[in-house]
Amino acid sequence: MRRWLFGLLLAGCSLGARAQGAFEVERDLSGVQALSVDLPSTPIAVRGCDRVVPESCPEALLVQGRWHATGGTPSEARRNATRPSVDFETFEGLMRMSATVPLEVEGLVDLELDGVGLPSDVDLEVRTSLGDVEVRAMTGSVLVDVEVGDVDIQGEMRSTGVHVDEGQVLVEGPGAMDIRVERGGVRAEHTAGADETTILAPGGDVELVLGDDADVDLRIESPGRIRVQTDAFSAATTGLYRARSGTGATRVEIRAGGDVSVRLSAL
Amino acid sequence: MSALLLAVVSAVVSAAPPNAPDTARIELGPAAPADVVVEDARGVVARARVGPQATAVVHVPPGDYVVRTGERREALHVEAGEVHGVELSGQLVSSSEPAGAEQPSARLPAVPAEASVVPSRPRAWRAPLMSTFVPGLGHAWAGKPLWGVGILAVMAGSVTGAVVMGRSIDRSDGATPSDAARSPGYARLAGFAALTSVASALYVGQIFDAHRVERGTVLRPVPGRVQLRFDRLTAVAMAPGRPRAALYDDLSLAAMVRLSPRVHVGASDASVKLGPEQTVLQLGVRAMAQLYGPLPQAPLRRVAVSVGGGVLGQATTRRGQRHALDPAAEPTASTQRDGTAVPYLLADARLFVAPRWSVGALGRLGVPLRPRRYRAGAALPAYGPTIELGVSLGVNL
Repeated sequence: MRRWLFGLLLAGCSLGARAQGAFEVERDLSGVQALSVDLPSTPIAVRGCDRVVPESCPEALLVQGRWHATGGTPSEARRNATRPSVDFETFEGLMRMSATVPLEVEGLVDLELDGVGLPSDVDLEVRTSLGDVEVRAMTGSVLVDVEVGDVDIQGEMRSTGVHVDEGQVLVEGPGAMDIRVERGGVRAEHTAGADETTILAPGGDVELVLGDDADVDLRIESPGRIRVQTDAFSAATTGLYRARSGTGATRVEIRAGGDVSVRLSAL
Repeated sequence: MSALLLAVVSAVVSAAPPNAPDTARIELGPAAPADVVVEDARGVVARARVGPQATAVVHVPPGDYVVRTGERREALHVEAGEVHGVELSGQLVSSSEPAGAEQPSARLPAVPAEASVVPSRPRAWRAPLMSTFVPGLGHAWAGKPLWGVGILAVMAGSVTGAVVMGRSIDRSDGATPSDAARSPGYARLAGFAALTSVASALYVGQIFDAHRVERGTVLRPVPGRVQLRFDRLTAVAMAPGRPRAALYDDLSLAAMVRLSPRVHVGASDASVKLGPEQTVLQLGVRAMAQLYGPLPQAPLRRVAVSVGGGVLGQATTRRGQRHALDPAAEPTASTQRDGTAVPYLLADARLFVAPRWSVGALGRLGVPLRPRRYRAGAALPAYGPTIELGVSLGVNL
């Protein structure tokens, strides 16, 4: 039986070999205020370091990763793993990190980043097609654009923007938030007060935790359950909920396809 | 695969009572409307009216006979167990194939022979129409309820299985680094490919077959001069990263010219594959030799088995435009080109579901000399032996 199953699986297949090509890159970040990471599908983990301690936080971008490759033979696979490259371009304080995959090996290689390290006050933009994105300890603005993958951002960001086609989003930090998820849920927490917040999640639930509910203009639309429990607001409803506290200077807008929960972090 | 399945179902269910071993079978028509007379030395054995939609089958004892149509006369000698097809355009064909499974239009006693008349049959459209909407319904309506139930069951099973397996293919597989440790999912992808192939080939085949069942005629394959075919060949193979396995699907068209009753050559593997920024043009040449199938001396064989080989060529162009960070700089356009050739061996088993239409199961072994490209930027590496399985729909013109 097992032999029969093995034969069945062997029919309709391709024989070949795999290989890996590891790389490690260090780039000077002097004068760079923003970094754009634009890569093919790969999980990406970015960690910020504090410039106050120069010994542990050089003025540089550190990138580690590897290229996975296939080939008809082991030597062919190893050669394919060395063909693509990670490239850098700088212009007036903006650095872009991207990948170049020659046509000869397109479809035969796949990038995997182990990690990206940089000073925390650099503004960060991350784009990839398939892969989870994790950002830690950044203090500048953070923008993440992913087709499929979960996004986890925690730090002291000045502002945060997230766009995901399919995946779960978790954001913890201060600053304005603009989060759009086509299919997936969102959990966002303002760790200090409240700031301008827009969350669009037509295909999932939303949980928002506010650090403060003073001067908030709250607008929620959802066909699911809406539960609001803060000092200034309290509601359990469905459809549309709108309320304002104080001057209403801080606008918080949520549109979700599932349930919505808003509460204070102190609760 | 599904074509073979259909063949098995057909062979099992359609088995009619065998002919008496001491008789031969003479098949008349189809042809332009005419009265046909079969005579032996003692006089008229059988009369029949044939037409484009009407054939006649006459069972006779061994001996010498004359088939007469107006002033035209064809003499033939028949032995017990033989099948003789008389094409009334004037060509006389015969084989020593045992008298087969079809129900005769007229059966004569061993001695003496008597006449039979075959009524013309109306056009059949109800059963195929029913089978178009509900697989198997046409067979059930045309008097083959077991066929109908069997076809419906296989279709329901394959479609349900394909949907379940298709939904289990996680779009986010590979997004997380730990996904690399998960099962690559070869079996799931192979199952999905096999079930979709079975469902598609069986669906098309049963519509044609419903037409045949409704008409109740003997299916006589028409070889034609040119065979047009649509092939789907699939390999489940390793992918470079995450997920570690992928489905490599190749949809293509072929036009094969019949050089002799057993040999076809022609253009094959024609397709256009579009990927991110890239276009792949694919074309090949193929030669096939028929090992078993309908021949002038065996015109009623519904199954054809062929082997052959060919070369598949690909030309790939990738056009990209890179925008510099400097907004004042012009975008940089680049064009890259690549190509490959894939020599291969091919085996093909076909079942005729109508005189000119057939469904088939294919198996191909090829070795790309350069990376071979599929849609959406997927590729298989050079020098990697690749086994593909698939299905095919063909029409003889």
